[in-house]
Amino acid sequence: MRKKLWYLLLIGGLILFIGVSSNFVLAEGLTATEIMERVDDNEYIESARMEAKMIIEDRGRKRVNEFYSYLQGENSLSEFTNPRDRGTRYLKLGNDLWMYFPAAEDLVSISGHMMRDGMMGSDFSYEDSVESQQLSELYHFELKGEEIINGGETYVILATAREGEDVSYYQRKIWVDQERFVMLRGEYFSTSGRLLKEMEVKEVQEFRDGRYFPIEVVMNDKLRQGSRTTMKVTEIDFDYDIPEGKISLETLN
Amino acid sequence: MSLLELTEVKKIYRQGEIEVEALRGVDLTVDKGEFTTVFGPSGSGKTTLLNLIGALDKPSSGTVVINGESIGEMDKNGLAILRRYHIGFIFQSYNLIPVLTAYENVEFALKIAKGNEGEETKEKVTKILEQVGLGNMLDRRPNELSGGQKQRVAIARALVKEPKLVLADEPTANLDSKTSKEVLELMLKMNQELDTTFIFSTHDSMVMEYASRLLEIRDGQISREERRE
Amino acid sequence: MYLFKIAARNLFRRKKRMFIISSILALAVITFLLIDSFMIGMMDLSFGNVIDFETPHIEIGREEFFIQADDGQELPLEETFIPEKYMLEEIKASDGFLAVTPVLDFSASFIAGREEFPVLVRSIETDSFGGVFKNEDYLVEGEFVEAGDSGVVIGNQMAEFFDLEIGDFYTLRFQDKNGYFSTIEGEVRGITTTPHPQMNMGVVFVARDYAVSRLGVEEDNISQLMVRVENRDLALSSAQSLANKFKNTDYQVRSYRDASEMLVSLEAWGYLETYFILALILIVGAIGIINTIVLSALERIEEIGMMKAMGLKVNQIVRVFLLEAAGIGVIGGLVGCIISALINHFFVNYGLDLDLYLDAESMGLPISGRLYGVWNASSFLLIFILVILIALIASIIPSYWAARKDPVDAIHHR
Repeated sequence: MRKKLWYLLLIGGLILFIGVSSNFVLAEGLTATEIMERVDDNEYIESARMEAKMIIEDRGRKRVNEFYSYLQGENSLSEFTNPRDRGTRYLKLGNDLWMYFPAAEDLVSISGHMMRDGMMGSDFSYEDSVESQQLSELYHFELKGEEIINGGETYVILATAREGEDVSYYQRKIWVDQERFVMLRGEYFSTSGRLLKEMEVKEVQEFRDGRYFPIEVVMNDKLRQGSRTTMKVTEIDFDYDIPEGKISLETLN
Repeated sequence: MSLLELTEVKKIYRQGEIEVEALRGVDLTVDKGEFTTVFGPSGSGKTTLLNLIGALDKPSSGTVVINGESIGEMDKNGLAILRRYHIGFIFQSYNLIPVLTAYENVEFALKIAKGNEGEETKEKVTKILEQVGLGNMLDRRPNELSGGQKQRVAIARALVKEPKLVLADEPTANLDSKTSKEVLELMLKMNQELDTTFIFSTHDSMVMEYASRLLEIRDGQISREERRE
Repeated sequence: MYLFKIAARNLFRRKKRMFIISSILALAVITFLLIDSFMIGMMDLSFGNVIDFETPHIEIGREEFFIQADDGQELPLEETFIPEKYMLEEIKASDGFLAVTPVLDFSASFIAGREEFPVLVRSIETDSFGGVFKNEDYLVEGEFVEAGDSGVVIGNQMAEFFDLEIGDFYTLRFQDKNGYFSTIEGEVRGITTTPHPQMNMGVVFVARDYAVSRLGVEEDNISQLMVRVENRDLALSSAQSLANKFKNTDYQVRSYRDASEMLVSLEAWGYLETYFILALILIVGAIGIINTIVLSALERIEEIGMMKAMGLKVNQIVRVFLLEAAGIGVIGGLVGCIISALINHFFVNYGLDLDLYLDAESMGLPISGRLYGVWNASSFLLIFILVILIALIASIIPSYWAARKDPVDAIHHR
C-alpha cells in the first residue's frame, strides 16, 4: 500500500516535473544551440499568411505602410495595401527578388544587394523582415550570460555566422526570453565589430499550440541617424493553406 | 549637183484623234548658190517645209536629201551633226544666247562646227562681224544691241562656219526697211562671194525682190514657182 | 569650254533664285558642319573625361567582373585577383605605355548623417594613381587620399548632397567577400570637382591598403589594372595586342571604348542623327535644284532650240544644265563651308557653356563645363563634295527633260 503510494507519488511527480519543467525548469541546462533551436521553433515560419503595418519614422516624419504577405520557406509574396503604395508587390524566390509597380505596370528584377537595403525606405531590410532560414542553420551560438529585460529573465547569446552561409550580419547578440523562447532584443554587428542595427521586440503573442511569436518589433539602423521602424503584425495565420502557384512570377503581374 | 532634193514629201501631225496633213507631197530641188524665197499664208505648210529643209524634223513619208544624205534614216544626233556642219539658221527672233557677247555668240557657232582653230578662229569671227558692220560692238551682250544689230549677229553666226545652206525664217520681220535692206545686201553678197545657198521664208516684198527664185505654198503644196534673173 | 562659259554665266542670270537655292544648300552645309563639330567635340570631351577620371585607355580585370559590372550588379569581390608578374611586364612592354595603377573597386552604401547613397568605392594605390588618373588635379578642398589613412575623397556633388565638409565623418557599408556586412569609417579628407559629373556624385576614393582589411579579400587583391598610354589610337591597338596575349586566361583587356559601350552607341546615334538632319536638308536642297533647272529650262526654250539648230547634241545641252547645277552646289558648298569655318572658329576657341544649352548630365554624358568644337577637315571635304553631287544628281532628270525638247517646238515657242 505504501509502496503503491510512493509509486503514485513518483509517477505523479515525474509527470508534474516533466510537464512544468519542459518550458523553464529544464532550461537551466540548455546549451546556446538548444535555446536557439527552440527560438526557431517559435519564430521560423514554414508557411503563413500575415498582415502587418510598417511604421517608418525618419527625421521626424512618419509614414505607415500596410501589407500582407504569403510566406513559405525561402519564398514569399507581399503586397502593399496602404493608398500610397497600393498594389506594389515584392516577390522573393530563394535569393532572387522582384518588384512590381502598378503605376508603371512593370516588373523589376532586383539584384542581391537590394535585399539587404532598407525595404520601402525602412530600417528593415527585406531579409530582416522575414527570416527565411532557421537561425540555427546560419549561425554558431555561444551563451554569454543572463540579463533581465523588462523584468523578465533572458539569455544573452552571441551568434557568429557559420562559414559558407549566405548571411548579412557576421555577428548578432541576441537576448532570448527564458520563459517563452522568443528573441526580445538583437544587436547586429559587422565583421569589424561595428554595431549596424538594433532590434527590440515590444510585444509577443501566444498562438495555438503554445507558439510564441513577436508581433511588434522596432528596428533601428544605427548607421543612419534619427530613423526607426516599427513592424506590427496585425494578423497571422500559421496554418494558412497557400494555393499552389500563389508565390510565383505569374501572380506578380 | 543639187544641194537639196525633196521627193513626194508628206508631213502629217497628229493631235489627239485628228490628223493634219501639213505637207501633201512636195517635190523640190534646190541647187547650190540659189537665193530662194518661200512664201504663203500662215498655215500653208511653209514653216513645216522649212523645218524639213533645215533637218530639224523628219518627213512622214517621201525623202529629203540634204547634201547627198537622206535625213529620214538619221537619228537625232545624226541630224544635229548635219546641221552643225552644213546648215546655218537665222530666225525672226534672232535667238542669240543672251549670256554671250556678240563675238562669243559667233565664235561659239564656229567652234561647234570646226573646233578650235586658235588664231584662225579669232580672225574669222572678227572678220565676219566687221562685214556685218559690228566691228566696234564685239563685246556687247544681246541686250545691249538694237534689233538690227542682233539680226546682224545672227546672220554672222549663221554664216561664220561657211555652211552650204542658210535658212532664214522671216529675217526682216523685226527690222525697219533701211536695216532690212542692209541685211539683205549682206546676205546677197555672201551668196555671191561664197556661193552659199539661201532659202528664205517671208511675207516681206523687199526680200522677194532680192530672190532669184520664188516658191508659193498653199495647202501643203507648192502652188506656184517663179524664177528671175 | 563654251558650255562651261555658258553654264557659268547662266548661273548668275537669275540672281535671286540662285541666291535662295544656294542659301538652302549653304544652310545644310552649315547645319551639318556645326552639328558635326559639336558632336565630335562632345564625344571627344566625353571620352577624354572617361579616360581621365573613370576608365583609362586600357583596363584589365577578370572577365566575370566586367560582365557583372556592365550588368549593373554589385561589383563582385570574388572576382578580384592578384596581378601576376608576367602581366605587368606585358603591360609595361606595350606600345606607348605610360603608367599603370591597380584599383580595387567595390559597391557600397555611403552613409553620413541621415542619408544613404549607393556608391562605387575605388580603393587606390596612392603612389601610382596619379600617373593614370587626373582626379587629384581637380581637388578643390582638403587633401587627396593618403596611404594607410581611413580618409576618403568624394566629389563636390556628393559633398553637397550629404552636406559634408572636410573632417566630417562618413560610414561606408558594404558586404565583404563572404557576404557579411562590413563598414569602413573615417573622415572626409578631400573634395574634388571634376568635369565628369558622374564622378562627382557616385564615386568615393579610399586608400587600398586601408580598405582591403575590411573587404575579406587577400591583401594584394585588386579588381582592375588601369593603364595609361600615350594616346587614344595607341590605346586601341595596345589593348588589342594585350588582349591577344591574355587570350587564354580569365582576364579581359578592355580599351576605353569597350568600357564605355553607352558612349560608343551614343556616338553612333549622334552620327545617325546628324546624317538624318543632313539628309532632310539636302532633300529640300535637291527639290530646290530640280525646281531651278525646270524653271531655267522653261525660260530658255528658244535658246535650247537654237543650240540644237546649231548642231549641239542632247548630251551637250544636258551638260550645260548639269554644270549650272554643279555651280549652284559649289557656291552653296563654298559659302556654307566658309560661314561654318567662321562660326566654328569661335566654337573651337571659345566653346559653348554647356549648362546654358543642355543638361548633359541627364543625357548621361560624362561632360560638364565648356564644350569646344573640333576642326574636322574630312567633314568639310565630305559635305562639299556631297552638296555638289546632290546638285548634279538632282538636276540630271530635269536637264534631260529640257534637252530633249524638240528643236522645232523650241524655236517656234512664241
